[in-house]
Amino acid sequence: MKKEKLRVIPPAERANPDLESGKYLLMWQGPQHPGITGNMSLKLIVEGDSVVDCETHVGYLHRGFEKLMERRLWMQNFPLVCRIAVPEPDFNEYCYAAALEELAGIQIPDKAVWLRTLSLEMIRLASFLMWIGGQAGAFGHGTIIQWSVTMRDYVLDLFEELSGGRIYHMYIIPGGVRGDVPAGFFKHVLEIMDTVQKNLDDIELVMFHNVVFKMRAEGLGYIPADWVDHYGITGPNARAAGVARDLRKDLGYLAYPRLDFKTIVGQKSDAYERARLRLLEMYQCIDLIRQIVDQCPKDGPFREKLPNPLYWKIPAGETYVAAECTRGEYGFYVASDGSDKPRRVAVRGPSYTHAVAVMERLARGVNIADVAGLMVSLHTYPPEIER
Amino acid sequence: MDATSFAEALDFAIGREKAAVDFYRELAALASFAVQRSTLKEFMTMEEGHVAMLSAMKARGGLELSSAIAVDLGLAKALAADEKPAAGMSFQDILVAAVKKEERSGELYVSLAAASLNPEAKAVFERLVAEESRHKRYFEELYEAHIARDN
Amino acid sequence: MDIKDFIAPFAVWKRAFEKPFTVKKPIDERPGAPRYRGFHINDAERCVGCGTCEAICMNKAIDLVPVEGREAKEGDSGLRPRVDYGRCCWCALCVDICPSGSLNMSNEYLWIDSDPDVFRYTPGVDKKPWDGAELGYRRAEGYRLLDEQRVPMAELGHREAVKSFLELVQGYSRAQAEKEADRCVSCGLCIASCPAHMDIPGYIKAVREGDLDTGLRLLYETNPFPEACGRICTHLCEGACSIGTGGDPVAIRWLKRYIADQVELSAYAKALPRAEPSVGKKVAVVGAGPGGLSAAYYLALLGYEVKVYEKDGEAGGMLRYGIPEYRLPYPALDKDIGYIESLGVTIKRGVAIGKDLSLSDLRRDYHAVYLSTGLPVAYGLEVPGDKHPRVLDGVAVLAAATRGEELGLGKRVAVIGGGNVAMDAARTALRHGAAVDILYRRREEDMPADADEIREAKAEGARLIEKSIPVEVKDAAGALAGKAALFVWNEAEMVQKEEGKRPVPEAIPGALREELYDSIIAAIGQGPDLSYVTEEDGVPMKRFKPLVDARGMASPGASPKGGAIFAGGDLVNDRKDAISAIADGHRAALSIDRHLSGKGA
Repeated sequence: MKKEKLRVIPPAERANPDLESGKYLLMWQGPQHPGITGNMSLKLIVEGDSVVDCETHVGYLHRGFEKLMERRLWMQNFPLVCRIAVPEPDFNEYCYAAALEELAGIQIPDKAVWLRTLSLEMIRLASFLMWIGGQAGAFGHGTIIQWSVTMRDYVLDLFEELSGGRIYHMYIIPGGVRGDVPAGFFKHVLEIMDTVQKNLDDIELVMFHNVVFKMRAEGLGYIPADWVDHYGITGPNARAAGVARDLRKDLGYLAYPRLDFKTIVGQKSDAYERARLRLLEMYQCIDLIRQIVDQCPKDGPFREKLPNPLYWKIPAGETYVAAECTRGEYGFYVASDGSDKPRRVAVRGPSYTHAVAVMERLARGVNIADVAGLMVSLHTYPPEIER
Repeated sequence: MDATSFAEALDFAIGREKAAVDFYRELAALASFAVQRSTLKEFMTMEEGHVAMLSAMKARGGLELSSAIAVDLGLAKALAADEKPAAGMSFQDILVAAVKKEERSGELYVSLAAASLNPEAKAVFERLVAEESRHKRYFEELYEAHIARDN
Repeated sequence: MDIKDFIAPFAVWKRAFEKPFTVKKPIDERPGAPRYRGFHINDAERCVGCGTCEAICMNKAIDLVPVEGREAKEGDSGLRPRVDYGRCCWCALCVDICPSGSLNMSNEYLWIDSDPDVFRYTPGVDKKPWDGAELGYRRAEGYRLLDEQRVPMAELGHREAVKSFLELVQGYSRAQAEKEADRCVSCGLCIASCPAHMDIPGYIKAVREGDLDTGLRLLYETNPFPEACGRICTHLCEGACSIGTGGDPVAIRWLKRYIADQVELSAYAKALPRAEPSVGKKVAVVGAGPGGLSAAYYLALLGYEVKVYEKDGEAGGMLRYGIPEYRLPYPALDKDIGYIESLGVTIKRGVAIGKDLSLSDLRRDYHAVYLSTGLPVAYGLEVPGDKHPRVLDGVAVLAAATRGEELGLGKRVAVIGGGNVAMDAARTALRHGAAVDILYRRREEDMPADADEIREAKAEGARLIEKSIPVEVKDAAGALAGKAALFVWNEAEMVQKEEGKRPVPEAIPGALREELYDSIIAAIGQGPDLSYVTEEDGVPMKRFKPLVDARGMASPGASPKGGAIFAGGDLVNDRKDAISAIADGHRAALSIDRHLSGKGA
């Protein structure tokens, strides 16, 4: 099989086939389908086993977060925001807290800066571990998910120890973090990082040196570098295309300027390249976490005292705070009218671009068996599309 | 006075209570305004009750008084009693007079009990000592609650 | 593709020989982490039912509900939080904010039941296996959503304070007041404990929002003496404050003072309600203390023509003649009284009822009379020698100080008593340069004076001699005869004579002490002066107290012709403080209105 033949650029226009002709079949993939990342669906028009046209349907998961936040106190939104992206709650917590701090003019203690960075890197690793299982599974490789989800659970154990919650950590609170690290925590972190790294080595061996995975993933969902700005593609999807775009470097927020790391880039953004790049970023996460454990100050306050949360008013103003999540640019636009509740909150999740516009285009011409693998290779989470 | 029998001892006690009624009546005559009179009347009515109670006991021929001696709050000893209440008497003046009167009665019964040769009379006086201690306690508590609030 | 791509996948087989990562539940247990946010636990004894958990809960998962066997009491609503796990998101903000720290979480996360209704329960009340769990989420040390520390109040130093009668407490600045107001959680436990039931969360909110006109209006809804009460109130509210369960209570009293201090008297009328049109009826008030003037204020608002009779030269009663100016400066009191007078209330100063006019005169000339004459009669020491010219009474000393008279207390002063009058007299004597001993029959913790007063009196240099029973006053010998006196007391020990009653001081035999003093100020208690009430007035009295009904009415009047009589304040109630007198005055005004207008009588 020739990879070059597969690395085709799908047409920009929609196919618009004649469904009455009997040549095509209209079928739905999702919203209840194991090959869909979360509750969204794809309306596929297939000819034989290849996809002629794809239309994405979202809205199954709409919970109205942004509107809800306008009716809740600033502090009451803190337990709410983490639910916008279930596998990566911490990026929501960070962006929301940082936006409030910026509007209210609050400087958080250095220790909180480090612990926030730790929390974000730990969840990056956990999220990638879950994703890699999904990616392997989408190509029929069910073993990997059993390994990687176990490793993710070990990382969640760390979150449980640190914050008291496994999924929704609610650790990054406006003003800092909710508590110092418990005794012995850093030791546990390093032990688990060793375990995870060993497992990543195994995954690398059996997944990336697997003929089936290679054959199916290589050339699938090719994203040319010139799409990156056209569609607003961010994160590993863009980096795999050779565009060195990483907010951790570009914005230099939290403790990242004080950490030693290089932006990882690929050459040709297809499903295999993206998977490989994410694997490398997992190793990078482990490295960053070790650096954080090494450099995090041992003493000092972890939270700035804020006014009474029942009446906290934030001066009128607006801001946009972004962070590099596993899938790209994650951002919160927050506007205050000076009252005790947000006037408007808008959440920018990378999945909106990747799972709707990019997915619709990439699906054209793909074999129907590869739709699930393609979708997972874009690493999207529908909850953040529907805020 | 030398009471030799149950009846005589009770007669003596009834006499004392009647004297107490007279005591409050005399004070009431000295009083110059309404609240003094109403307070003294309240205490007088109480003493009249004692007269009635003792008379009834005498008629039934049995003593129905508790032997429990009330706790001494020690106020009576501390209070000066060198003056008689006068027209402008305050609640404090009235209560001091009352406490002192009960204390004197108690002391009298103590000595009567000691002097009594008749065991029947002695028993009556001992019970009366206890009874008077309770009366004194009643006024001492009033004094604590209404007068010496700050000390 | 190379050969490795065909062989490498078989490496998964090595896992078949490794120990699995999974836990063999139920053989192996997997407890939640020590910080795990599991099911709630609540120490129902420490919880005061303030409902702050309910206020912060964004899911409305918490309801404050009545609990069997628990009644509302001072500083406790009697309610306890019930958690609905159909709504709870386990964020633990309720734990973070809980003022008392009673609400926490266990590390228990397994609970299986076929009945969905059980997942709503009242922690600490409905027994659960995880009650009292050692592990589980607790807020981290040094982390609280509320501020447990009060904004400090600037006060004169004690050394500085005793040199003059300058006001000790300096008051909050705007920034300080707003910061302090921000500590309140608006639970309202204070409202129930305040005798006047002031809308405390309401006026604290007004401070927080800088809306002082609203604040003043809320103060005057229940209390026309905010300047005075903002300084000298017994502040039961602060004892009930839920924030006080885990830190300093909110400085409610100082915030009240802040509002009144910030608004000029000339701006009061703009913020406060106007009087109703005249109803054409007249009410007389006897005594221009806080109670009498409160009644007058609310009656004037209701459209009554009110005249207040005051035997002293100035209005204010004990606020003026009993409380020294370093605690309540006269201009502050004058401001409160000035506003009441500006509503058309007439105060007849220097007119004594019973002397210049009789109560029956008032009953004849007015539709109703309110008696609020307080407790002006000082009780004596009642020990031999207590008529010595150097034995003074505390109330008289304080009144003389107010009138600016020469006190002539001398260098060595004894104050007998442990109440607020004793503390005020002692601190007044200190300000006149005397060395002061305070002698009290019981222990310091038994003293009825406010703890602040006792602490400050001692800090200013007064010596407290506890457990001292007065025995005698003897004239000084020689040249000092008549000019100084020996105070003799008996050292006492506290004896628990009866179960369940407070211990009684008992003299230690032979332990007599004596000291020479230039003045001995007796402040053991005060009584009413009811000599102006006659039998014809029809006021039932018992033990030197007019008996009133729930409306404050003592006599319905009209026998054969005359206004109804109401009574209140120290004369009637047991609390005997300004705020209770103000509450009585307010109640009487409303009752008089109902009585005279025939509404709901």
